[in-house]
Amino acid sequence: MMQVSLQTLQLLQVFMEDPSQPRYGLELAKRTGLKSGTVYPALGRLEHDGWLTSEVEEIDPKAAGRPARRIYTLTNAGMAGATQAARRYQAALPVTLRERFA
Amino acid sequence: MKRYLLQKALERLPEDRRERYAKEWEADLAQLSGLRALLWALGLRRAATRLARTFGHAPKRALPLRALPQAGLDAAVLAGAYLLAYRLRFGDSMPSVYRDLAWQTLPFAAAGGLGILVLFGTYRATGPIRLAQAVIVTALALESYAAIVHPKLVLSPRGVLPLLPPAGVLALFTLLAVPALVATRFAATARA
Repeated sequence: MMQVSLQTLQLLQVFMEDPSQPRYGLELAKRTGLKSGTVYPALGRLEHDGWLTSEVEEIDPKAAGRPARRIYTLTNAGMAGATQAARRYQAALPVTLRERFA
Repeated sequence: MKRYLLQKALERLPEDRRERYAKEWEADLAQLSGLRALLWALGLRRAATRLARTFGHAPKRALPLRALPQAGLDAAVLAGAYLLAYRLRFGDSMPSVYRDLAWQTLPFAAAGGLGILVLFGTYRATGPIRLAQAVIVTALALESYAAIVHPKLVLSPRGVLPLLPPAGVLALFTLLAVPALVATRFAATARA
C-alpha cells in the first residue's frame, strides 16, 4: 500500500470531488494552495503508482490561445487508494476533529 | 528569467522525461505572470529533484557519501599545507602575530577549503586543473576571511597595514596543497 502524505491526500480530494473530471497541475495547486515543488512530484508519484493516468489534452493551441495542458485522471486503483487513505487519516484524528471533518 | 529557471529545473530530470515535463510546465507557466510565475518556476527545481528520485535517477550529490573519507583527508591536507607554508615562509623565527593569524585562520583553510573543493565539483569529477582552481580560490578566500573575521592592524615600515596571510604563504600553500591533493587522489585510485 502506497504511503500517502497529507499534501497528496489534498490533491486526491480534488480528484474525488468529480472522479471523471481531468485536472492539471496548476489547477490543483490553485485549489489546494500547494506549490509547484510539491504538486508535480506528487502527481508524478501517483501516476508512477497507477493511481492517475495522464495525457496531453486535445486542443488547437492557436484557437485556444494557450498551449495544450497535460491533464490527469483518477484511475479505479487511485479511487480505492484515495478512499482508504482518507479513512486512515480520519481515523487518526481526535474524536472532536473527526466529527468536524466528517 | 522564468525560462531560465524552467531550463535549469529540466536539467535535473532524467533525459527521457524532459520533453514531457517541458511541455507540461510551459503550459502551466503560460497561465501565470509576474512574481507568481517566478515563484512557480523557482519551485520547479525542487519538483524536478523529487521527480528524478521517483524515477530512480537521483541527481548526483556534490559530496557523495563514498567520498567522505577522501574529503576528510583533503581537509587534513589543506590544514597541513597551510601550516607548512607558514613554517617554510618564516622558518623558526615566525613573528607571534603571524603565528596567531595562522592558528586563527587554520579552521577556515581546512573547512572553507573543503567547501570550495565541493563547490568546484572535485568529488564528482577528478582533474588537477579543477583542484588547482579550488585551491587558488581557497587562498584568495583566506585573505578575505582574515580581513573580515579577524581584522587586525599592524604597524609596519610602510605604515599601518591590515594583518593578512602574506602572499608568500598563500603561494606556498597553493604549491604544497595542489600536488598533495592530486597525490592522495592518485593513491586512492591506485588502491581501487
